[in-house]
Amino acid sequence: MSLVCEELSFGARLQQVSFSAATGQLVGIIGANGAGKTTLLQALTGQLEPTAGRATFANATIAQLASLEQRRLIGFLPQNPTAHSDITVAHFLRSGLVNLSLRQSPSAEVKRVVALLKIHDYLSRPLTQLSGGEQRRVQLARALLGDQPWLACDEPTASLDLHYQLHVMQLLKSLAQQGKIITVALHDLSLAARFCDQLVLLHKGRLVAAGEPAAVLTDENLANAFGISARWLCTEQGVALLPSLLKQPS
Amino acid sequence: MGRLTLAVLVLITIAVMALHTLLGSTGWGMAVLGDNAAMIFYELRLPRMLLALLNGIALGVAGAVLQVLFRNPLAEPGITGVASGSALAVVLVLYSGLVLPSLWALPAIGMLGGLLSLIALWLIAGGNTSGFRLILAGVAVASLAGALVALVLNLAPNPFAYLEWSLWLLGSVANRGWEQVILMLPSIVLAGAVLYWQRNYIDAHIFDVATLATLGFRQRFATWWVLLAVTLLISASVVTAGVIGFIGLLAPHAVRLLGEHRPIPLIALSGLCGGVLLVLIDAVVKTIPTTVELQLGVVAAFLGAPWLIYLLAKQRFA
Repeated sequence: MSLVCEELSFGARLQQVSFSAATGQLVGIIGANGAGKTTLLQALTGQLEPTAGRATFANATIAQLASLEQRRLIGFLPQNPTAHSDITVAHFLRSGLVNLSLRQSPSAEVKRVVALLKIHDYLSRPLTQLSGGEQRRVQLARALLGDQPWLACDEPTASLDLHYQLHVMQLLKSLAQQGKIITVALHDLSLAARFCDQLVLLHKGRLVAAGEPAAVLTDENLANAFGISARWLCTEQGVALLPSLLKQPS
Repeated sequence: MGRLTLAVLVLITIAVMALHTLLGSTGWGMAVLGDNAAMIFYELRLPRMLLALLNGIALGVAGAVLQVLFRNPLAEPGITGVASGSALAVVLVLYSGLVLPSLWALPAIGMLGGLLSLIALWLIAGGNTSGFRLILAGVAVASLAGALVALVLNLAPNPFAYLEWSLWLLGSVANRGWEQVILMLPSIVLAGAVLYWQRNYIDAHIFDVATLATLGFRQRFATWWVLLAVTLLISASVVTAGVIGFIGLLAPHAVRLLGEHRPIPLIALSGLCGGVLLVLIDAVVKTIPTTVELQLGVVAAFLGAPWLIYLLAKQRFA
């Protein structure tokens, strides 16, 4: 199966973005604030109807699928889901099973995602009483329910501590390797460079580059898209980026 | 909520229902009624108690559904403008002095008024079902309908008509009969069936707007079905008992205080709670000796307004 994004546009916010990804790949969508990462994720997954171009998954045009079909194809984690009701995490996850076709019993499916995100201790607590990072993990667990072939996450590591940033990125990587396509919007370029198989770099709604991290995160692209210069630390564990501000950001 | 709490709640309901039918202006129990006891019980007390119960159920359920749907704990039937629209339709018919062809015509017109308010709401909100716009549109519709009702009262042909309509608007279940009970029952059953059909969609409102949009529902379709059911409940209540405020706000919060936050149990228990509250309030109304009987809506508002102030204060200082 493959995900193909052809000249996808949404008004002025997203202009003619093209890339493709195959099963097993973790694809990072990166760019400065307002570059169009969230818009791209929403237009890709059919939440926004593209004004031009199209996105196809396994040869089906996403925007033309019924919402129920989209649901069974794509697990989605929005950028800032807020908790507003005093229901428990257990009920929250139970309700998150709605409209899915499950391969196992509902309780087994909930147990699976609870184990993946290590949130067992929170099950009987009201969601609103958890910290921001704890809520984020519960929300990500909710997005994993259903084991869909495509997972789209808008900043899955936001408000997580370093331990869980790594935990979540490793989890996403292994889920991809088990046969999913995973598209994530990311802010942390070090995490993006270290874990993603492919990066899609956006700047002001346009595609700057798409491909392997080393090919995308060039000095020129970083200067253009972020107004930074970078030094790279390469160790056995992976790479990390040490950014510094350019005096005159372009 | 545990089974024990539920059992206690059901027992309280039955006790309150019994209390209401045994209380009267002449004193406690059936014996004081003398030879007409059976007639008074079946023709006056039983339908009055049942009408209070059914109105409380309708308003409690409607209030809870609106709070869940708008993710707003201060939502209640009044804010949709449906109650005002319904009341306006009824007052207009009374004003025009039309001779209606059947007993069912007035209720039907009241419901039509509620439905028209809902359509106005839809047009003003621009089909946008997310919280704020819909609530603001509801406030606009309610204000307009309220102003028109006031205008009709202002133009009332004589003081007696004015008094009668004003009292009706205040909300009461006194001097009603089985017709009103028979009108309420199918409305509640039908609305309940629609809400049950859309239970998954209602439950999914524990998620925020962005998440709900990805859960595979046909949102507009589902939202308007749910609103239609709520309209039916509110209009049925208005045409049988006038405008009774605050029960739709009080009942869901009472249930939350008992620790129930899951949408579907919250809605069901709000119905039960609204029923108990209204029967209890009407029992008080019946027994307070005043020259003109107090109106149920007035007493409900006396209890409801301080509650609303308390909720707002709690929210502010939380």
